Amino acid sequence: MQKITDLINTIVDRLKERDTTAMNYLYEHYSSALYGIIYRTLGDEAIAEETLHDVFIKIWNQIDKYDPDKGNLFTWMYRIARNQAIDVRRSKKFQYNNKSTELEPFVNTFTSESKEDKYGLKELIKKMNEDCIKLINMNFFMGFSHNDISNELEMPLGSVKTKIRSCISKLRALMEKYND
Amino acid sequence: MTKEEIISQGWLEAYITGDLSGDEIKIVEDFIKESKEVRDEYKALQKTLAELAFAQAIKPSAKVKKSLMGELSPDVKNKQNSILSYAAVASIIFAISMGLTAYSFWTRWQDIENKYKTLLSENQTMAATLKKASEDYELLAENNEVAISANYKRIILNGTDNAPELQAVVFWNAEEEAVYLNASTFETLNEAQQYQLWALIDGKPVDAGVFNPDSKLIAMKSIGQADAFAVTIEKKGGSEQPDLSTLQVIGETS
Repeated sequence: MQKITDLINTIVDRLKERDTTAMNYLYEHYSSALYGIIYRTLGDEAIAEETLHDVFIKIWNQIDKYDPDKGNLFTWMYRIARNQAIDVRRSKKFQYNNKSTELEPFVNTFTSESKEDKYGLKELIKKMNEDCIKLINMNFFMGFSHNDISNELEMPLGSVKTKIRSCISKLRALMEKYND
Repeated sequence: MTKEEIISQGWLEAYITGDLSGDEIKIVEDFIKESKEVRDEYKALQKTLAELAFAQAIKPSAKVKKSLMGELSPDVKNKQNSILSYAAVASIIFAISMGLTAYSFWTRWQDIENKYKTLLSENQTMAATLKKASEDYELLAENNEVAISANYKRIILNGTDNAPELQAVVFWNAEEEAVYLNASTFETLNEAQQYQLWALIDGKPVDAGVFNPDSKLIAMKSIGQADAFAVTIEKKGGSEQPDLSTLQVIGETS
């Protein structure tokens, strides 16, 4: 774990020094995870790829703003990707071309091309109930805030928050159990 | 707000996704900083989120990386360019400052040169003036010497019918055959004409030289003998015989 932190620190330092090879590393390791979020939020391959591009440009340009005390690098990049995708989805151009974002293709499933599934998460997730999958997907990977979910699913805001919390706890318990 | 509420009521989830307002972010960050329980929960949540994100990763097409890295490389180049351009800007500034300095020196040099030229010119003018003054002085001194000298005879030439108001004065030293003329009141003639002084000896005119009106005494030709002096208007350069119809002034020597 210490080694990973050291590596990340090195990457961050090198990014700050405008080292494109560090950016290459970052892209190789994180682009798929971030693209998964962006694509699920936008549902359009071309726009999602354009957004991913913009996200990495933002990471490159704003690396000085990354503060390790406030979270790890992935969290920081994740937040940039999610917010960028939401901004695109809110844009007039996007709304004109895509009248509404279809929930269906993503909301109930975990699709992945990634081989990085060391916890067998996909299998674990199958053990979770549909509501949990839907809530986690919407909140973390489709750019829905608690409020958005409350409106979309006609569920009280408090319930949305506590349910997500309990779903994550359940998932974590499953992961720990699997690791043991 | 308690740390339990922060943990159980979705605050950390909303913080991690970036759905909180500025004030709310501050509250959560303070809890993360102050409470180990909140901090641990936040760490665990980050880990879970990352694992989920990797579990549902989708590989974007290769063109994204290509265009991205293509854009970053120029960015690095831009940085170099910007360094270069700093150098360029610096050298331009240096060049401009050198140019300005040079210009400043040039203008100062020009200024000094102009001043020098002016001084030189003034000096030349002064020298010329002095020379002229000196010459004038010598001439005046000479004139004065002539005018007050007992050796010079003062002969008044009075106007004829052609110019009744006109007068001239001849200073004549017969012994030294020297003749000076004061014709300061004479009018300037046209380019083709000149006044001519004649010495009349036994009624015969002898050329005593041509002249133009001058405020000073004019040195004329040597004359040893004369019964009278007269001035006529002749062609430029003078004539061998006077045109008496143009006689201006005449005066006898005795």
